[in-house]
Amino acid sequence: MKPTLAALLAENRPRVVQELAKKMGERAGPTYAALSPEELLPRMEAAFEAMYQAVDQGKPEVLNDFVSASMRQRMAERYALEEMQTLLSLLRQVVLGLVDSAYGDVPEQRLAASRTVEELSHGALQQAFQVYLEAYEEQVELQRRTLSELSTPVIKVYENVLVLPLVGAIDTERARRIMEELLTGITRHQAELVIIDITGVPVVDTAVANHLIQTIKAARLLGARSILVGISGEVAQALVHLQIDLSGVVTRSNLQAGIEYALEQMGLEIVPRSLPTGVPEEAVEEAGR
Amino acid sequence: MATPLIRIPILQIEDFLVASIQVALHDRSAVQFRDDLLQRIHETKAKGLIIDLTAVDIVDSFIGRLIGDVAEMAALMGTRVVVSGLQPAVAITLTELGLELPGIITALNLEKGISILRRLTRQEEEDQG
Repeated sequence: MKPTLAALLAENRPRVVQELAKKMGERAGPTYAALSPEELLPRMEAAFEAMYQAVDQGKPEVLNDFVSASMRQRMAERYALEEMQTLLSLLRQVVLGLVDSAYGDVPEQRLAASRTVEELSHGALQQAFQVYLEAYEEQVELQRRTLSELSTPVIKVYENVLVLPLVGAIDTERARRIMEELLTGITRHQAELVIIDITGVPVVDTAVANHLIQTIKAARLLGARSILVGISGEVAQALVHLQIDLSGVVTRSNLQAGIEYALEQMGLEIVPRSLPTGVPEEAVEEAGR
Repeated sequence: MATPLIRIPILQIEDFLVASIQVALHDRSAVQFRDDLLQRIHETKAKGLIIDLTAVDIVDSFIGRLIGDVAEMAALMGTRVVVSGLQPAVAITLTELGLELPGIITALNLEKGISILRRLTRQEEEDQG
């Protein structure tokens, strides 16, 4: 009777680790390749140790935990998954080689040991993928949240005047956020005029139009008047076809016209300063327009 | 035992009446408030009325409708109504309930409410005179 797989692994530990480190150095991606042998060795040893413990105790969790821990640690690196995959497949390859040479003449034991190794590496690989996927999803969720925060800026452009530039598609969830942000912005700045710029909204359907109307009505309840600007030709067509009544809403062609209207409402006006010499008249006219 | 009746004080400043609601109104108190307001408008012949809701966090459909009614009734008696200081959450609730207070002038705060009333009454006087 030959020694058990655990005993075999324990016995050949230094040789296996060395071989693993050598192969890893040859095969692996930028991170491992950049490591010196002295740095590489402890990592290989840790991987081997996890494998050994898993075999010795009959607990695949030991190896899985090692995989999870080192994946989480190295998540920020671009090649984390790729290299874990390489490491696990090399570990499997090296250990299987050992099994083959040790149990070459005892088919039953060879089969059993191979199966154990295969199952362990398969499970570990699966674990690596799962951890990677979870971390990835977490990141996507984080970005989604950041994006939605960025999506509703309320900007004060002048005393009592706010601008709400809307960019991108508006769904119910976002419409609700927009309304909340705008209303709190109005009370915070005590703004009397709000310019809602929908230049960047690609599609306006009944739902979006209703959200906008609701927002405008709610703003009015607070005591702020709204000016809707940036309605493109297509959007105007859509609004008329959908028979959406915007008659109670002040509309202007673009943000500039909206700001001019807002200032006018407050009895203000943008005028050119007294002419410095040497400025051509057309430029002044342009600026005044 | 019914909830105690709350009377909202109604103050007079120049030609205007000011009522600031500081507590959550029960239906009965709200009706009392409406009656008090109309009574005071009748007594004082005020040109304007400001209902300040700065301290109100919650408005239900009954109160929302009641404020709309008061505005209409006051208009019949020749008094302009301004609602001031609505909280964002209250404004959202009202629009969701479909109570957009269409006939009512709104103002961000009491001060702006008074200046709006002043401007309106001055305009009217100019128009008449």
